[in-house]
Amino acid sequence: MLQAIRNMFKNWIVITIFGILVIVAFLFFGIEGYFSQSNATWVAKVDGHEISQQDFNTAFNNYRQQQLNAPGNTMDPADFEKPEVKQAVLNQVVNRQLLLNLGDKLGIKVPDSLLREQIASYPIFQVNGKFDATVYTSWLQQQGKTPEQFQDEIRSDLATQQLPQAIVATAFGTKAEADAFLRLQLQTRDFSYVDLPPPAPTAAQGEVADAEVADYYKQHQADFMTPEQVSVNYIDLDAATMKAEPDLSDKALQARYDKEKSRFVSPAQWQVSHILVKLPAKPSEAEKQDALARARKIDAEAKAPGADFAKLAEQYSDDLGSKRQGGDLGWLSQGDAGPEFQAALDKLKKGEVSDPVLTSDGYHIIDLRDVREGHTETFAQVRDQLVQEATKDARQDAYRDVGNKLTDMIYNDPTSLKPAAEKLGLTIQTTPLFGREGAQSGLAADPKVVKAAFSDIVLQQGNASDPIDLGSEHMVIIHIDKHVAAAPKPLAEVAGQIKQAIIQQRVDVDAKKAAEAALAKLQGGEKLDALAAAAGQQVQQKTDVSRNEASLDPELLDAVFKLAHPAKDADTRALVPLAKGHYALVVLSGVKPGDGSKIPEQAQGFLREQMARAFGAADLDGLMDALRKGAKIETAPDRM
Amino acid sequence: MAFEDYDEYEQGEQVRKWIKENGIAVAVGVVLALALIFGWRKWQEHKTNHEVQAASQFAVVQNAVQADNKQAMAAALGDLQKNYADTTYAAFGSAAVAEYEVGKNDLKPATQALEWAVAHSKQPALKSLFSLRLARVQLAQDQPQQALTTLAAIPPGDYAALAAELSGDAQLQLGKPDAARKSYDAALARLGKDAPERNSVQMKLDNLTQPMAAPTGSKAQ
Repeated sequence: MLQAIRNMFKNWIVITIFGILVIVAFLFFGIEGYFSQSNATWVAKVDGHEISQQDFNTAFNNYRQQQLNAPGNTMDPADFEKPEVKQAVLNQVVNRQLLLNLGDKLGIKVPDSLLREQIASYPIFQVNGKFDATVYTSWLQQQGKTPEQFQDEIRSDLATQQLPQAIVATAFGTKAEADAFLRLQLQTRDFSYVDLPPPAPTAAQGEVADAEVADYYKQHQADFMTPEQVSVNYIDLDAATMKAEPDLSDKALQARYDKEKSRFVSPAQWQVSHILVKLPAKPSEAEKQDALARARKIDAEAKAPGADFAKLAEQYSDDLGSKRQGGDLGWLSQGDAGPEFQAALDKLKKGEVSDPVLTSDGYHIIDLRDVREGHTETFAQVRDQLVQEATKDARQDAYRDVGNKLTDMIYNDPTSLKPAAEKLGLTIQTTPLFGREGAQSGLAADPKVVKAAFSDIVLQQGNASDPIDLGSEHMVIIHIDKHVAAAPKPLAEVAGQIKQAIIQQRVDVDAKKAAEAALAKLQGGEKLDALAAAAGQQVQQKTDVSRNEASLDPELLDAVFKLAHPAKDADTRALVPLAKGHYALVVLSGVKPGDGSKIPEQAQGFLREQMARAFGAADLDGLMDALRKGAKIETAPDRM
Repeated sequence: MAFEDYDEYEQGEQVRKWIKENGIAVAVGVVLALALIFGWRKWQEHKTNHEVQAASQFAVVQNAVQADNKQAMAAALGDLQKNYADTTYAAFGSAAVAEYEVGKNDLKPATQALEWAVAHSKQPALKSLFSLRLARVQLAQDQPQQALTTLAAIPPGDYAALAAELSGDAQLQLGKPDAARKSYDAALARLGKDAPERNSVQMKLDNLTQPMAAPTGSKAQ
């Protein structure tokens, strides 16, 4: 018994050991790649999933392309080196990985059918609106990708999009929500108010001592600064105004004309129909005779007055390609047809039918339906155009040449524009002073120039800027001329302004006191018209006022819609400070909810769609936040 | 005595003997392990197929919603909920139908669909998302108490702004403007500075301004 148990036990050990051996062998087969990787190259790790430098760079380049191509772009290439831009791209990439991981965990699958539909929907793979397999394969070859690689990319794109799309597609706005929104948005309020203007300054208030002015000046120094300004020296290089000495001799122009002759020639063309009597590849003499006889017979019919060549072609022609179109070959140019055919064409006049013409295909009967004479513009006719083009080309060459030299020289010595300008015979110009907001006109009106002028390189280091591209074949390089730091304006210049400000302060204190006293009286039960009369003002009565009533001061309106609802059989009384020392005494007497049912049904539908979209976006933001919070995210900014 | 001390014949005998004693055990071990690996792979394959089928059934639901075909929708959703209840697609299929029903103002079936989605979502962030939608449909049916219960199940901090705003809506329906005011305040605090929802939450809050402890009887100067 004991022995049996011992045997059994021994067996189980052997079974387990060999079982584990087999599993280990399977698990680690082909996995050695994981161990050979010694250097970490990831830029981020999301729950153990690495985002490689390559993935990040791809995302970053896509982002750069998008930004630079976006209309109204103000970013220049240097901006993309900023850490915050890289961080933003990293966030995108991490979000994508979070979604991928979530999709993995939730078993989000991209069925092959969906993948096929997606690939077939790309216009670059389509010919006449339909997916074309040859275009697809040749594109893949160009990109150096296998179909599997490309499909995996698309599959993972689709996998990351599926969840967000499902969340947005299933978002909704309920009717109750739309109604509640409209009740608030279309709410109207009934109120009356009195505008209390600030009192005029008293004689005492108008007296401001110099010491007070000086004190104020000291305390509000930041308000009385001249702006920081710079002026720059610049070299302006524009292909349109480049000095160039094009060779405009007749010889040079003639050479240009000869080289580009095809542009000035419209070739002769023939509109042709034909009937073919076909010959076999190596015809016997008898076959030839036979064919010629048939061709002559058809030719005779075609030449008969009133003959319908198209009909004859449909009836007799052996050319399957053109037979159905009545033998029509369309417009032919020199070289489209064989030499024998062309020789026959040259002899025909418009509307004539040829005798049978022998070519390697057989006998042709040719109907010349129309002729376009060839036309050549002579050298003399296009001479002016050639002069213009030669000048433009020379300017562009000069621009490229001088531009390259200039860029090189500035690159080698960025401390000054002078040597380069002297050597290349360029003039250095100077802008007037301008601030960070740029100038109204001139070079400093261009935001790119302003940005460069206040950049670290130009302003702090005192070096020349990189070439600033101002459009097609136009650039400038700038170098600091003068830098005027922000400085306090002299007291004398701003004393008057300060005096006014001090008087205003004094008046404001009085105005506030008077207004608060009036509010106290109002709340004490005094009538609004009595208070209005005391202030020499009129009561303004307003009913059914909506939030966006254009005839009222928006500040007043905003405050009125923030007042507490009046209690039953009562009103809400309040004081609203307005601009320029004014106050309004307000009595709110009624609040009426908006009625959504007065809005056209279609507009209600739009509102609910809009709400659905907003909720969908909020849902998605919330999901990403929650995922981010729950994930272990490591980043390596130094590897970005 | 070590194995090497035997001559070749004896070594062979030893091996044969060991194999005789343990051969079956080795074979059983190998077979069991292979069966395990094979079974695991089969199971993986089955799981993938199951998910792919669920994905295409979800597409059927979406197409039916697009085409306003209630019958096809019900059939596909029934299949999803019955045979693919363990997949995310079943929950999203339910959410798609809920969206359809809300559009038709049929709030009862929308509630049921969302309740199903909440009950069958294992991923916490998605469960919370469906809970928020369920709470909104409950509010639309004047069920603020149920909505608050639904919202209470969302882990604090998830979808914080939206959850706080909805709590405010529910409290207002319950006639508790003070509590609602606090909730809207919390929602605003959680919203980004230029979040598009800010305006509407601010409007809700502004509409609840407390009457000042106004001294209506205080004496005038």
